[in-house]
Amino acid sequence: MLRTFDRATRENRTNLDGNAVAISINVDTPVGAEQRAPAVAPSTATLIKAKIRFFTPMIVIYMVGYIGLTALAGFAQGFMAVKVVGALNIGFLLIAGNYVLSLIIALAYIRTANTILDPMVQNIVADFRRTGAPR
Amino acid sequence: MSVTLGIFGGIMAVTLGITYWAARRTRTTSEFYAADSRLTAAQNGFALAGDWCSAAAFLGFSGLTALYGMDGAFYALGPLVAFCTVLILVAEPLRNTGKFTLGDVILDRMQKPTALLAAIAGTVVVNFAYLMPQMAGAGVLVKLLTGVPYELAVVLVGAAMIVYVAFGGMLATTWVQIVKAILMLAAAAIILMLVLAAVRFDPLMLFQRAEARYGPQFLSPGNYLKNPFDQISLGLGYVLGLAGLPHVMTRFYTVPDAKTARRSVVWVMFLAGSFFAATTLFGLAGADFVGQDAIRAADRGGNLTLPLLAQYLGGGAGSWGGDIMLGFVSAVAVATILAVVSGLTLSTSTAIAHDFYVNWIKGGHVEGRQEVWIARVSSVIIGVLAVALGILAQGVNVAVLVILAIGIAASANFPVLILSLFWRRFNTAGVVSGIVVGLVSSVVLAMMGPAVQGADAVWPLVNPTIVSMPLGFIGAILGALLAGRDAENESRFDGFSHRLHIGAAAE
Repeated sequence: MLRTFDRATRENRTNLDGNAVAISINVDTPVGAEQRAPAVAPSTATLIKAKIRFFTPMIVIYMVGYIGLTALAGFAQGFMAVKVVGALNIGFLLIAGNYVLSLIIALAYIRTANTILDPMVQNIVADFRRTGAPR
Repeated sequence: MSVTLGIFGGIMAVTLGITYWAARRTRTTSEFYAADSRLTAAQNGFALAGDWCSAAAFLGFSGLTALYGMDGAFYALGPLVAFCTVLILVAEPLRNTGKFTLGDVILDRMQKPTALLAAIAGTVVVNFAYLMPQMAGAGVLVKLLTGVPYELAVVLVGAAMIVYVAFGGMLATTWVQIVKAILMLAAAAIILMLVLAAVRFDPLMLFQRAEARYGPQFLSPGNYLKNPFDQISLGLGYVLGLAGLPHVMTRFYTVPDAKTARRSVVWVMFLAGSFFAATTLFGLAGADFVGQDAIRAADRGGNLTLPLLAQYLGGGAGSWGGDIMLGFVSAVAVATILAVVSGLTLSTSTAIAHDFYVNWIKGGHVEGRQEVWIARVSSVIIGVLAVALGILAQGVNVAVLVILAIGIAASANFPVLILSLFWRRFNTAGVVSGIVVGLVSSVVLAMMGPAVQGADAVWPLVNPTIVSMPLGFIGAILGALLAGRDAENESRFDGFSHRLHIGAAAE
């Protein structure tokens, strides 16, 4: 899976190089009510799209996981009290699972940011340095 | 008690030494407000842990678990999950857009003094709602632990906090928080080892014994928060409110770049997460070894569970080991309060000096050295005010203020911050209406609820967030839409968004 991400990043780089001219055009064009797309410089727009794609599932998972668990605590108290090992019940196991889930989400975020998003940012910065295009 | 004072004297000597060292390195605004943005991820991670784990976390979570079982474990879980929101949505954007404060971000985005004023209101109200119960808690706790009278305890805590912040700025505050975090984790590690040794390294035994003594209902949910919607509302307040707390936001300006900001969040998640998880075991162990009756006899809210458990594990009351353990945990509890109130005082005085005086009144035209002087003076004023409010709060039920701080952070600051960061059409009118609606709805709902009105309150929920947070978002969005489009503001969003995602490197 990571290999696909790498390829995607490399494609972005070629995209960026190809778009260097487009960026300066975009900046020179006055932003009016009807002439507003692309919203940001195309390279940044790609980065934002990637962020939305990676972060949305993460946010949904931890929010549903945690708020769902508090809802279970309120509405399914019998289920939460079902014993699993000795006196340890499903509720405490799910709470422990939620600790682990939060840390997994954090590590997934770090991994995504380090391996996929940071290289995209570096490409954009390098591109701006090369073309001298303003932000 | 003499052990507590001895250990606490040691902590004071170390932190005042740090302040002396930091004061010599604090001359510019960037040094005073943000430790010159030169902290490492690990340093900021420890400082975040010291900033975020208040006495309510250090003492309260164990106590709630000891008295109410599973609901206490829920209280401890939320503050960790909340860092997912901070990590994914706000840590890096804050680092990339602001300079020192929430007000900076809003001003950078909107370029309007009115928007800045709304952000200042959100910052100051939340910080004071958080600071006042901390001061009151300090008075109660120091009195309980050392026998010093309430008023004197508040004054002493306030004096130490003013010295740290006014002289040492962010650098001293940071290191006070780091020292506190290390002490807190060390205390937790020692207690955890002793607890596990007492049950022959079988944590399941803690559950077994708690059930045998207090029945299966003790390990089921619903013993503390009876209304299911209150449980959810509390959870939402934590998960979104942390990202709206100004004193937590400020910590992301103490690191050089977005990468360090994100790594510091992972540090705090592992540090604070392991501590929060341990409090659940401490609570069960306290209920078993110390007993609920003895815990309630010492403090009705259960706040002395951890010191009493430490005393038991050290060999019991009157024993040499028991005295040392009780003294150590009590001293760490006081250090915990000091670290949190220092962070809050610094954050509030930054909002007053930097946002209000320099940027709002003077339009940014204040020379750097003069601004640092103003910031030092404002930290003294904020500190004195906090002491006065803390003394006035004696005997008053301050629990509602904690609920308010989290509720307003989640319902006013969080929606306005998120929409400012990510929504092109968001504007000054939206900032103002979002802050006003979020603030007013949190306050009104909390005042109508059982925390103030008692059991026969019209409004059934203690925690307002489940209603006030959506209202805050709706208020912010409606305000922005009703004000009409602002082409100049929207066109500036491109540059802002670029900085937000790329960082200062591209400037």
